[in-house]
Amino acid sequence: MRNILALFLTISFLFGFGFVDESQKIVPVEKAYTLEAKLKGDKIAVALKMADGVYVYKKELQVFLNDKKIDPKLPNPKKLHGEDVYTKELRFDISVPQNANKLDLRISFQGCNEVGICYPPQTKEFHFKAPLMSGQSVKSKKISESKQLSEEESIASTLKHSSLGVILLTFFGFGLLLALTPCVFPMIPILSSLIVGAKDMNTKKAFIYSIVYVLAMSVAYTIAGVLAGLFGANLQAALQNPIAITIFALIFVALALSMFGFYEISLPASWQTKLAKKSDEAGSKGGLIGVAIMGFLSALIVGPCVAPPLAGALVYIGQTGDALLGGLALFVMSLGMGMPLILVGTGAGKFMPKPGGWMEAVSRVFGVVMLGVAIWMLERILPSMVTMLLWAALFISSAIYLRALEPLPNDAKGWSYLKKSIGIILFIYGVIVMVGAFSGATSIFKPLSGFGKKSVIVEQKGKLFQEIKDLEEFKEILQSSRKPVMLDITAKWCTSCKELEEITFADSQVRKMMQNFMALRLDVTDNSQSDKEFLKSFGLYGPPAILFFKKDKELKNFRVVGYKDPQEFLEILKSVLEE
Amino acid sequence: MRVMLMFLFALSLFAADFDWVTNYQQAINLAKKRNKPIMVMISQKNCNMCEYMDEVTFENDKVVDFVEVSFIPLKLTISEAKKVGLKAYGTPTFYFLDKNGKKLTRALVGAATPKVFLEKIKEIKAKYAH
Repeated sequence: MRNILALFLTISFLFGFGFVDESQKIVPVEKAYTLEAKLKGDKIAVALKMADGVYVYKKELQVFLNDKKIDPKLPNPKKLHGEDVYTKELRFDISVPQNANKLDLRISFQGCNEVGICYPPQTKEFHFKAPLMSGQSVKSKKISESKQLSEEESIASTLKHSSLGVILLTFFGFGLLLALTPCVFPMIPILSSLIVGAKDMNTKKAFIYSIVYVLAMSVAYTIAGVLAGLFGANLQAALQNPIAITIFALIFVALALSMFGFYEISLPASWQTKLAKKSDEAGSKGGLIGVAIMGFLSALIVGPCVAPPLAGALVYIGQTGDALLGGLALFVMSLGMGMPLILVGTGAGKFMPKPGGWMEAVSRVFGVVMLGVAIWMLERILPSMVTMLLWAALFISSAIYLRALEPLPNDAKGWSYLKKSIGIILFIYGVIVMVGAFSGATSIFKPLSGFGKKSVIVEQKGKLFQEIKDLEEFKEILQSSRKPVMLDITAKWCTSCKELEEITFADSQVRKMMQNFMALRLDVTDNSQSDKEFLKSFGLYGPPAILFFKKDKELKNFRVVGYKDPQEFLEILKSVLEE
Repeated sequence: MRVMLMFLFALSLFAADFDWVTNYQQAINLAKKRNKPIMVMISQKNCNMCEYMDEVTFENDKVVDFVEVSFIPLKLTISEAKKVGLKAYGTPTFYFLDKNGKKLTRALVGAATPKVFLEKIKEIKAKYAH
């Protein structure tokens, strides 16, 4: 029994004037405790400073060094309401083990404020490089137990625990990694075509173009980040709605047509002359603004390709409301993402030989690629049969464009043969895709997959998931289910969801393993009010997301955001079952 | 006589404590059924201020009676509360919701003596009663 009488007296006194209302400022937890740790020789000096009236429980103070719990020597505690506590300031030293080559210090604590409130448990991490001691043998690195944080959470926790420099560097790294994903590919042709399309291109100008493009792209992400911080809105869905996608697809078609030489896209002449007057490099500024606009638009198109780092950053920003840090992190991340673009872009200018007839050919190739990008975007909103037919049309018309079906002239050279061969290959592939489309195939990479097994899969698919509508229904099922619950959040426009559906959930081993789960599915294509609430209650920004629950608690560590191949997914299912 | 004793016993049970609902959805359902607002207490482990509320304020007969009659009492942890959009940067924190889950007041933060707490919940009841 705690010493409730003592507590009673204190509180009665403190509360003589009334209840603490949120308007009366109670010291928030960040200001209630200041925790510092400094490496001094072979010791780490820890100091926990507390605001007036704030105390910390001795029994809730836990110290971990390199993931091992340690018991540092603590000063004598005070007795308060029958509990051992520390007030004002707590100082203690931790001795550093001889053989450590890194020091990861984690301190968690919990305490209350005399005004009548207890703070949630706090954890803070410190990382030091161990001092090099002479004659010390280098120990082999022990692989620490891998903590299975979900990608999203681990990125969010990086943000929470690191200093600004580390955060920004980390995000730059994430950006570089992102650049290696297919998400960024559509940007390469866009930028290259802008550079190839410009007049009097040289390396310097190509470099400037690339930088402007990347900066504009970064600005778009930054705005997204800040908005997420301010509104926590479902940005992804907003940018992925059919209208937005259609508009972007049309922009690409328009660009492609200009590549084919139907017309030229440029700023109105009056603007151009105005800009030219103000600028020494006449004309080039107008181009730069176009480049900037394209950069900005590209980010909007590519951004929602749910890359976990982006989702992670948005989750973090949404949670803390720290719009400045979030914006900065996203800016740096997109700079990282743009690095390869700058290299490619600069290269595109450098390796350009003198302009000539061949440039038209290059523009046409880019035109075809841009049409491809338009179709790729439309895949999210159109039935796969329609997009397959579009692909087929694109391949076949490119082949015709290459004069694949016309006889070669008698004096044909090697180049013409090559052109014709490519044309024929495209033609045949186009025909196959077209046939595949009618047979029910859904991927241009497997155009003939529609023959044979399709009907079986459709039948199985029906049983795999139980569709749910809203949070209420979900909670009911969650409470009544004896099996662990797996919740798949999907939408028709979400490409990663399609991949999950067609590859991962089609895998027989995955399907077998999933029988151990109560598999639920929520479709948020409509992005209705209840969909939004659902996503918000789990801190999600949009599909794809797969959540696991056991005994109506979410196993956050296993949350899946983005595509996982069958093998990876199987591992996750196994660990959820074992958990 | 026996009936009388049982009645007293039942009364004492009734007065001694009320049962906290611990599931948000269940509280909403009850609130709709009984047409009462919800009193949410956000609590956590190792919180002596919450223990004070449980062992002193919510043992006080007047408080217990008033809560029992006027509110659906719901107790949540910080993380459970966060999921339904109720923030707490410490415990105990109290929210008062209508039967649709809409906040009636700003959060009341911190522990309070039975007298102060009773005054406050009476005030809230008076302001938001139908």
